[in-house]
Amino acid sequence: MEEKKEFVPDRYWYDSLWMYAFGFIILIFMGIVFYRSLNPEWKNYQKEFKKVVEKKLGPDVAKKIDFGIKQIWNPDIMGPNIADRCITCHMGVEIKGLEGEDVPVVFRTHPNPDGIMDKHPIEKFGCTSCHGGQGPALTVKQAHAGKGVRWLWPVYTREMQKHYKIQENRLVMIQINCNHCHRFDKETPGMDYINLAKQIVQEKNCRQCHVIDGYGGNIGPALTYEGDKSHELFDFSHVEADLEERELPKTVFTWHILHFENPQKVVPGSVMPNYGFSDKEKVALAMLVMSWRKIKYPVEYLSNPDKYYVLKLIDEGRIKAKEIELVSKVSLNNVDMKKQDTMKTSSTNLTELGKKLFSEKGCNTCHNITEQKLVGPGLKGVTQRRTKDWIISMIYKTDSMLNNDPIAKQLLKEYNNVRMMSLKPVSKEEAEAIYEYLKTLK
Amino acid sequence: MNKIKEVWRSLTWSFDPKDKIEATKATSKNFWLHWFPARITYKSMSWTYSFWLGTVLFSLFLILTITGVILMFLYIPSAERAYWTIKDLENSVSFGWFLRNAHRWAAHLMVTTVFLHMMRVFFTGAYKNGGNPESNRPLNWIVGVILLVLTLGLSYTGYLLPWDQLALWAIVIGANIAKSVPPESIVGKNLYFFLAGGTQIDQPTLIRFYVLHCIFLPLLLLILSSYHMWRVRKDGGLAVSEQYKIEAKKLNKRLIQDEYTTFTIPFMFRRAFLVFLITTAIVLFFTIFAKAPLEEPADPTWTPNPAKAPWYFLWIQELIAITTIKIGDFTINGGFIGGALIPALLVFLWAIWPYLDKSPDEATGIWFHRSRIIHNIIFAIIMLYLIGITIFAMYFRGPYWQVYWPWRWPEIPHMF
Repeated sequence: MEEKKEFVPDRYWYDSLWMYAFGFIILIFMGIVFYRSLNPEWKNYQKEFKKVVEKKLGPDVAKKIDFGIKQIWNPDIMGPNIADRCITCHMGVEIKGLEGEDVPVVFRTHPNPDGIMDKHPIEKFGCTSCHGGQGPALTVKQAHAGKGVRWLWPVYTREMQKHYKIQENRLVMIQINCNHCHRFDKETPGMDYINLAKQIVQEKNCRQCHVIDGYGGNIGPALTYEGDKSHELFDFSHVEADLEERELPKTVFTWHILHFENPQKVVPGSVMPNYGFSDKEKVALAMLVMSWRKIKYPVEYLSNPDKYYVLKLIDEGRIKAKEIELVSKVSLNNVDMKKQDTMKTSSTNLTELGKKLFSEKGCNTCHNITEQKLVGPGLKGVTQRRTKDWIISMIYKTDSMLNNDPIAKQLLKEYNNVRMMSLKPVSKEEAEAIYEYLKTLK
Repeated sequence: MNKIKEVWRSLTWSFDPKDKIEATKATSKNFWLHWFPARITYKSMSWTYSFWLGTVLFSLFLILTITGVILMFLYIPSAERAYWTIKDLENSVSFGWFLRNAHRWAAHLMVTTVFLHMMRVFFTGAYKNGGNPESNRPLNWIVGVILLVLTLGLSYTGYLLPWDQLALWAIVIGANIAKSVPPESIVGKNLYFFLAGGTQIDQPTLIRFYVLHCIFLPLLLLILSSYHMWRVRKDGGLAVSEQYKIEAKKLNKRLIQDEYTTFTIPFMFRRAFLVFLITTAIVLFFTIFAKAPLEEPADPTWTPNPAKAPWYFLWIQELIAITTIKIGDFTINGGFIGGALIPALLVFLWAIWPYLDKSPDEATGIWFHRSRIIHNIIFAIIMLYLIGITIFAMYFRGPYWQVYWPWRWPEIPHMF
């Protein structure tokens, strides 16, 4: 070896030491980078899964397990860019024999109540279209998209239900996603909460004031795509106290629950009546409105696709939503027009008919049959307060009465200038029937 | 064996010279090193004079180029797919998170360092010629200011590429500032159209920003920064070197080269390499211990509240808020004054400052020289003000741009 000799004195000799020091630091950092890249979270789950399978189904089955990132990709339903990688960790969902309670929940076979899995095969529907969550993610935190994760839809869990004080021992919030495709079903087996809410929507005639599925009144905000509304559009300033007191999470879902509980408290000055819903009804209604989203699934995935098509036509302005008769023949939850016609002719009892019309024409949305006021005055004893002519005119030619009659004008002022209206026109004969019914309210 | 040794030596001799002649030839005979001078003054080797910020910037540019080119293989500049390729980087691409984090942090560090570099040059009076008729440092200062703007442009165009809410709305704010340049109907509107490639931020904007970010701006930056570095050499090295001549002149002494200079190779080169290593280590530190943010996919129908510009433009956004004056129902929008006029004036003022600075030659290359106290105070006040309002806008501005304490920030509601 040549003798190393400096040709000029190295006054910066310590630079070499620092170079080695920082070289070493970089080496360590790169070590961390490699370790992290080669040991992702999901590998631990797969190792664990193999052990579970070995124990439950024997080593032969365990040997056949294929490791690595797994995904379900159906561009029809997820879009071209998203794949559901949930099965990378939840490897047992489709393997029979892992149903038992002794198998950790992560690896358990997907339950199949009422044969739901036969109608919704995993390889076609994926996971997130029903369960929510971030499909492409590969860590628990990101995939389940809970607090602190910037993702649109979290996984619905029982844990989450506890936050909303939903007293159920099964997963019910998932019905929100069911209703993306089952929106126009009148009743769907297994979707008890949504079914209940749909029943309420029909009974209370929400359409009197709200546009739902493309048509309805315009006193309240349109609700057809309520679930798509961003949190920016909700005023939380009147619910903050409730959130803190009852330890509810600050979410749009909570806002809806509290709003159904007491509309005036959440939106001061709102004319929406307080119907006194029960806890279950509040949650069910909140779930229903959150499920009303614009979805882009292909026809073959939809239940009642023709109604989705009608809604699309209304959205695009190709059908006038005001043509209620046309729409209601094909649209959801609405009174069957044919049935109504037969009822009208066959019924001889005017009072009975009036009672039916009272709810069908939506009178009950705003009028209680007691003395209590809702949006409009309570109707108990109304036939003693007003003349027969006045009441019948008020029912069948409301607008001209509100414009000309002094009593009607006075009442309009008293009741916050909310004009009495019905979405479905009422004939004079029908008004008379309703009058007969009102007479019985004493 | 000897043959191999010979080949090795022929490749590496210029990094490890054995005598003074080799050390001199090391720079001039090596293509990669020939823009280094053969000798360098001891004062420019100092850590505390320049903090080697120029070298840090070069290192960051190198890291950004390498990670950036690899990212170009993995990214699709499409409004439908861009976000998902970034998601894939985060989730499933091998070392994807590492590339993205490193690129993002190096970019943030580069913006920071470019400001620090400018402040260093200003406070040391390094834009002065120091009586050297050969040099033209004021010109190089102007080139530096352009490079600063280019760096901001690169960072800004890169900010859009992930196509998430953060990116989209930061770009919307920037583009709306451009829109407010009067007369709006002629200049503002067309400027916006030029930037966005349409009447809103969409696919045409993305492809514009992509090409600007990946080809146009980096090339311009490369060319200009090469000129910047070449000028440093033509101006006689770092400004602090002028001090030797000034002192010698004062004492009426002849300068002997060996007394005040040493060889670039190996000493300066080694230190530059050390700076590169330090920079890399810092970038790696942030890459590993801090995540690059990725929010929800871009949604033009849903504005986050508050929507904030990238942090290096927050001072502009804050200036807009400050210069927006409300008198009763009458509102004067600060978009033009705070968003365009003041920043443009500031950049212009910075660019021409060397020509306004009439301080003596002795102040060249000295930190906080007494004769330049007024310059430094004015500059410091402006910089502190800008940094102050940036921090204010970052931590104290909440929904509707209202003032909040950072620890009493209103919780943003989620869907569930």
